[in-house]
Amino acid sequence: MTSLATDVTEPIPVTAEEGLAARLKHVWRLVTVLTGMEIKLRYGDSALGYIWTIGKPMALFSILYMVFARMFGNDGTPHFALYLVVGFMLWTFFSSGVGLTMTSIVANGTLIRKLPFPRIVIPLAASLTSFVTFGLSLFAVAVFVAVNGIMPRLNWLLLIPLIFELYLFVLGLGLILGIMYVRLRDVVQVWDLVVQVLFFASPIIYQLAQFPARVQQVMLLNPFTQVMQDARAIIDYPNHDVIAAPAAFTPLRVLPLVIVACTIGLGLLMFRHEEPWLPERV
Amino acid sequence: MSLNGKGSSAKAIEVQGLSKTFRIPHEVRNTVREHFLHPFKRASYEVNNVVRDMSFSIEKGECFGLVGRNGSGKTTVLKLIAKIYRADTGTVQVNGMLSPFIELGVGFNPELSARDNIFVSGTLLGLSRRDLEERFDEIVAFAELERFIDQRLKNYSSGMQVRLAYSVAIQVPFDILLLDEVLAVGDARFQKKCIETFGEFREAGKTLVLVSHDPHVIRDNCERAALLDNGSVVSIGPANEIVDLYFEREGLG
Repeated sequence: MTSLATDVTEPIPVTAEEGLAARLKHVWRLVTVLTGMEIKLRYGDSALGYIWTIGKPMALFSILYMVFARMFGNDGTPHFALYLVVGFMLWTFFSSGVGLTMTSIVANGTLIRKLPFPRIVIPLAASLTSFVTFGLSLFAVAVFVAVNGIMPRLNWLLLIPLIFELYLFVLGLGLILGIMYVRLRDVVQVWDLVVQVLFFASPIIYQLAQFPARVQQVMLLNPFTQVMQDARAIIDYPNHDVIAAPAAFTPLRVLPLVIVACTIGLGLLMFRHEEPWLPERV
Repeated sequence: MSLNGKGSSAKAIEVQGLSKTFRIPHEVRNTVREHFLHPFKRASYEVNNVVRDMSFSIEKGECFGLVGRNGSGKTTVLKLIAKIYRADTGTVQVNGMLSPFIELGVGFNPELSARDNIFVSGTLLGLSRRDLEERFDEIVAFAELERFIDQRLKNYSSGMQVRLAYSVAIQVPFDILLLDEVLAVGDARFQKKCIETFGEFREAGKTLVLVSHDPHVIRDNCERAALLDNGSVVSIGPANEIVDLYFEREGLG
């Protein structure tokens, strides 16, 4: 008999792991492996490879800087390039993160139809892939920060909960839209349109301060806008007035957080409800 | 002798009154436009009873076959046993760890290399990175794909993909192996190798569930089998009798 691949007499109980801790470990292992493969799929085969993850945002930021800061002239905003870069980087994470997460369930239909595993790892890995790409683009931001002569401050640590808030918003939206996408394939088209509208409805390439205070408050209800403005305020504190993040605490400041909490809650609820039926519906 | 010493009478798989229906829409209304055009029209659908009130049990350590025409419910039953589908009614009890090999594979990504696919599928099946690194060479050696290990899966023939998928599926520690048409696309050499592993698994007291539309595979490897037709169990019994019955019913006997 030829040598066999497996030692059939000595079963090693790997999948016998039970309990919450073991299951979480299994989920985490899956998420990291799937995220790694997703990133490899995107960049691993191109000649420049992972350089693209930093090169692409760098190139984009440079173009933005040329067009908005040089050609149209700077209307007095200090560090306008940095203002643009921060906004654009967060926007890229938001839009591509939601897009990738919402399509991930259908895109991985083969896996879902063939193997039993916790399905949540699919959207988790997709959102983390966007997050890692976003993290790499921070190097590009670092360059702009240095060029603008801004020194890092301790309160930059506040960016961590802010970015976590944005990640939860991305994941929540991605889950809600992703579950809808399983049944209704038009969701992607609608989302593409919404992204275009949202881009211009958010003060990414223009300033919030040019609107009346009432309008500013309404625009800041969008969790994305709130995170972006707060991040800009933290990174470049002297420009606080220009950024027009409401300094005073108002009840309205809590609303974006409530929206994020509701989004992620609804997303997880919808996913849990649909999970058992995914193999026959994707 | 069973693995955990519960006694040889313990069932590996117990299926009771299992039913599964799929709703098949008459007109697929998958787009918003169609929903807007006919907002009050209720989506009509056909209920397809893929599995109807099935009951059977599989003993620990036996090789059990499922035969039947295409569409008789064989793969659906396997997916219900593997907990991929949720049953409408009935219960499935599985005693032991299970490794599924369904629809010719373990879900490879055609854009990734064979090496990466082994890591993804192995992780999905419950192996840790260290487990996989330890078993990697064996997986590749068994599939006999050393030369092609860094090629992308899309450049693999279907036979090569099945070889790799089977090699991964049997590296997961299991008590019960679900095999859906594993011998369908492999070449004669690989078929022989597979059948040799069946023998080893049997000796080690593992349970095998073999699905095939090729009755010879069932007759040669299984003690018992069930004949499925239109989602129901027609008969359960010794594999050769079931296969004869199948041939008879198909007018081939």
